[in-house]
Amino acid sequence: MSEVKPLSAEEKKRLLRERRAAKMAGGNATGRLNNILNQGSSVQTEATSVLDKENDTTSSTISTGVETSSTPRSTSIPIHHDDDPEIQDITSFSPTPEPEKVLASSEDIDAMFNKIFSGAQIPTGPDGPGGEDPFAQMLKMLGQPNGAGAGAGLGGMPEDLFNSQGNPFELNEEENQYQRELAAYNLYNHKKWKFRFLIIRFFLIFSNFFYHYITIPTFKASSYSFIRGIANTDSSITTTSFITYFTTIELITIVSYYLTSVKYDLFKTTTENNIFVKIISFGSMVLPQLEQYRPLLVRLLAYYELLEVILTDLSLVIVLFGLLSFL
Amino acid sequence: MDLELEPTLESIIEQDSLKWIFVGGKGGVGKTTTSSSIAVQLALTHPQDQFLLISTDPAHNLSDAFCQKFGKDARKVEGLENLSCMEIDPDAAMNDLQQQAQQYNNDPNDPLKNMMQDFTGSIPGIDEALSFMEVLKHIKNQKLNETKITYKTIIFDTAPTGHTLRFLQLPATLSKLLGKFQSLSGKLGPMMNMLGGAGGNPQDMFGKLNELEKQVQEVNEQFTNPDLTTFVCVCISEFLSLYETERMIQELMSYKMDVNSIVVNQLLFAEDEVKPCQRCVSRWKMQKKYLDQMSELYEDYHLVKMPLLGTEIRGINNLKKFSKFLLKPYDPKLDSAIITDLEDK
Repeated sequence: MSEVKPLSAEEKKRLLRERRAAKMAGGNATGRLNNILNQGSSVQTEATSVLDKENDTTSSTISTGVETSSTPRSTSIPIHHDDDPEIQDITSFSPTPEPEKVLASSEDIDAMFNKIFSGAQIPTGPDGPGGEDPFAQMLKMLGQPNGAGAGAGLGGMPEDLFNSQGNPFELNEEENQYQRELAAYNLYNHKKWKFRFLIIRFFLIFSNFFYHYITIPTFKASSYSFIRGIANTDSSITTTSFITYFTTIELITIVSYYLTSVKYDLFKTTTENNIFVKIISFGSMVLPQLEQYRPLLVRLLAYYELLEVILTDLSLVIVLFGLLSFL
Repeated sequence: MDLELEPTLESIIEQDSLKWIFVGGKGGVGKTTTSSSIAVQLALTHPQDQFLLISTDPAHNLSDAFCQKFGKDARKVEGLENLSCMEIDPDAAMNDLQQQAQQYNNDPNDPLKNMMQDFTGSIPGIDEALSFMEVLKHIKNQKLNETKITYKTIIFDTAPTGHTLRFLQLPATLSKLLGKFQSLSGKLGPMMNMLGGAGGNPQDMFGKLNELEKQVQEVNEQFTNPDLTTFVCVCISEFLSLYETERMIQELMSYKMDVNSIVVNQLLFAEDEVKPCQRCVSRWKMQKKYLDQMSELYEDYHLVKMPLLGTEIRGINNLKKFSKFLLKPYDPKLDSAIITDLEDK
């Protein structure tokens, strides 16, 4: 019978290390955590060990590692839990995964990127919208759904920039869907209010016109001034009352439309998709000072929409008077 | 096969190859006392070698433990010539890094500058990593009488668990982050260059991060070598501490770090007292329950049981008295005198 050599200190340490690792292998790590939770009567009943989480994802890597190992070793992890595991050297299939795989999951990194990029502030103009990071702005601008007029201007950037493999700016499907629906709703809301005001304006303009047409027999449209002058001979109603009513109607409806738009943020839909706003957004990445013109442009675009209302109404009046000239 | 483990830290104290010893655990379990005790015992056992104890916890306690003011430069402990201490300020290291970045870029309107600051500040574990860089820098520059001091072992009194683990995961996080950044720079490279202006800052930034990653990677290789590095877990005999310890050990194992010792602090050993108070008996009963659990869970570890003393363990003399129980197991029948034997500070 051969004499058993006493273990050297190094050998003993190595064996103990392997024994400790073996005791954590094969799902035992989670079992240990849950055992502590149970014995401590914790309200938390389920815990998953970081070692077991990685075992699931790296099992294929581990088996490959064993196959290529220079020293042939058994790959099976003992299912019985005695104190002395069959396999002493577990380095070839150690449950300790590569730190790279353990640590930063894609989600964490993505969350971190989002935090980093959305957190940065650019010291630009004193107005609010200028204080955003260009990346965030670009994302916001490019991230507008196709349904919301994204085709306009520079919005046609490749969509795969945002949702392809592991892109840090990736939006999840649910959030994407929400953004799409929100943009569609805003557009619908804008059109709805625009249509309501159009009906009111047209009704008032028609009423104004027909009132004058019916009550003033000499209410005529003509390119000849003497014909127009005939109407002024009627002393009870002057023909200038039409333009007075029209101006009043226009003023009231435009002010109401403006206030409603501000209240429901209707101008936002128009301005966000505007090509000039997009150009400023892109340009500000090269020249950050451009950002200070954004609020001015947004305001001008709102006024332009009001001007459109006046021009539409004037066009209607011109058409009506044109028709009247034939009578 | 004899694999019995003595309930002491003798193997760590006497292991010649060890270069780094980390001491960590949940907050308030006695990490600083334990790390100071380990450092004191190392210094006493190897009087011919120099040792350095470093606190990387932003809430530094070393000065109070030794009743002596320490700063960011290593200073010798009065009464123990071969032990030095230093307290590292991670914020200072972070400021240094940002100041370095400013040298390349003085434009206050540059959006990339803010991004860089946010970027460096948001990397998990960056503060701990910078502390460590700061440590290495200090050790490198540390000279005494024109002779460079070589520390045999450096002991880290770390911040509570989460902080330490974040530091250890930094190399992987950093590589992943750089990968992401590089793929992003491929897509948005020209734009990044425009953003960076004439200074070519994105390249500088990548260069710096690559350099940092390389350094951290080298350090990480040392940390995963059990001959060079070990981690001593400190806990108390309570549920939360036990759970946290087990979680930490598993996480450290996933980083391939060696953990072979656990120090259980603040034990009452009430049954051996002549007139034990009711509260002590009740608490000791609870402690024993968790000690039994620990004995089962950690039979392959050096499980060191340390007593709760009557006063705070502060000052080099008290630390010397207390720390000897890291090498010789505390026997409540023989050693109970220490409970009341400490000097008042």
